[in-house]
Amino acid sequence: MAVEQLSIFVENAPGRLANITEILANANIDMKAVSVADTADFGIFRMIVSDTQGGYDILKKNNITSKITEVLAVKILDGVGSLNQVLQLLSKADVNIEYLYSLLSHDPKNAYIIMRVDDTGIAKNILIENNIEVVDKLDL
Amino acid sequence: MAQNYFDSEAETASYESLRAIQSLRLIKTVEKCYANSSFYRQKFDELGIKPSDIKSIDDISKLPFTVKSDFRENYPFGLFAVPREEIVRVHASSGTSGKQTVVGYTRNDLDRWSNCIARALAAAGITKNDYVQISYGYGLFTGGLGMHYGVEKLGAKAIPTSTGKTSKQIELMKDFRTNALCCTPSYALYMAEKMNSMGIDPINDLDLRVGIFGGEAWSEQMRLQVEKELGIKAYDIYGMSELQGPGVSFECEAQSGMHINEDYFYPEIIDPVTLKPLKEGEFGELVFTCIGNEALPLLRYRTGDLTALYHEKCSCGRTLVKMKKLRGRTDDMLVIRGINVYPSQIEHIILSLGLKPNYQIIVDRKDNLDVLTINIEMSESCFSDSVKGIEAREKIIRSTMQEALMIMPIIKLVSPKSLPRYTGKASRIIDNREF
Repeated sequence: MAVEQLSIFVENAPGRLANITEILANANIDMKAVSVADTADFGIFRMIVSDTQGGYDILKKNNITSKITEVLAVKILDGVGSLNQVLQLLSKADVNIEYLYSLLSHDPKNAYIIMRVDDTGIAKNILIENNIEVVDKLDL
Repeated sequence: MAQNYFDSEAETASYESLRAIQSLRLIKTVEKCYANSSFYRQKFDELGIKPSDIKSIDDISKLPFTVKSDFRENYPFGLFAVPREEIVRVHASSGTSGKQTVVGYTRNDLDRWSNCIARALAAAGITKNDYVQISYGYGLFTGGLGMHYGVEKLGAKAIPTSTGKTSKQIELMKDFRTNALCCTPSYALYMAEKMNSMGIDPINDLDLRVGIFGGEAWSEQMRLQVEKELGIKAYDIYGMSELQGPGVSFECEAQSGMHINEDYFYPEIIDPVTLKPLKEGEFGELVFTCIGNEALPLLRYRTGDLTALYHEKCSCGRTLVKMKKLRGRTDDMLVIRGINVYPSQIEHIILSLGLKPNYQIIVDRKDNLDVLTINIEMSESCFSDSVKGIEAREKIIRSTMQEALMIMPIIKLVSPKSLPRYTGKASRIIDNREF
């Protein structure tokens, strides 16, 4: 099982994000990490939540388009150079990153990088070979 | 001003001689329709009328109507009423669904068309000595080639710049000392603005004297704006591809309505609901019978345009009946940058791309150019986790629309269920332009 993310379509207009966070809050769904990608007309609101399927269902009920997507979650040390090491390895392996955002771990020594790459297989291998932990479950 | 006529005999004919010509041509047209067009023969037989029932122009109301969808049902060449070897040109415009409305011309048709346009040019004071820049699109659209051959027919000099590359066009206009401009009125205003940004003063730097503008409805206020900004006289010209293209009617020096070339296009005004003919001066749907067409002799074609007809002693001396500025349409057809767009075409494309038909059509005029925006509700099948993915989807929608509509729309994906829902006949069009 890989880590699941909720990707939500948002029209670029005032109040759209607030509408989504309100629906999730009312459904008692906790957002662990969020990121927003935007263009002039629309955005994609990506998040790791406490209940992915529940989040999807409640949004659908409220006429909001979303999708559950699998993402790569990499555990790194919360310190100087950790993210750089991961990105250098991926760069050398010619893996392209579509997006990434970070997430704090329950353990203050660690952090997670949530990312989507063009070739998940190669990325996973190269990271594991270099003793970097790719996790299936987040310790939040 | 006698020099302002191209065909003074026809343009200043007495009422009686005009009726005689119309009667003669109608009888001939009806006979040809019955003999050569299975489409009309069937219509006549259904109504139980024979060509011999039509003895003069007064019998015209006995004839069946022809409508836009007849073109679609007989796509592409089913309405042509001459043997194939006589057709020398084909044009096409947007239809109500995916299929184009196709029209054909014989050599005589092209000659008649050029005559009609030459009359319009002469009425606007254009002479053999003038350079006429044609900034309508050349191609399947009737505007470019139609005006072009009219200019040559008059003996003036055609400059076929077509649309686009506006700054280049303006440079040529300056270097060639262009005297007259033919395009849509909104493109004329766009040119004026461009001239301004190029530092060209149309009044002092150019020899432009007159413009003949058509392809879209425009208000009197817009005329004043064009005339002021370009320092010219601006004249209206009317037509539609089904009938021949531009030149069905045209304005003269009086600038108070358009004279109809009624020796070729016999006009009627009907009530669009009861289909009964209305009296002179009453507003209703404009209907034309093409009594001069060989390839496409349309009988009582319902244009969908709302206007009124009237006779008056015109200061230009023409006796041809006049039609008022268009008041709108009987259907929901939009004219965007001079091109006909039917909401049904847009819906057709949306469905063909596997999207739900929840959309909204918005037309604005920005910097004097029409802008078409189509809002489409996002759906799960269209959504992707990556911005690139969604943008690629938008691009497919945009290019498919552009190919079919011949206009590049702005595609905006909006939240599901955010667009208004309609019961009954959907009215999804917001036209913010002022005519």
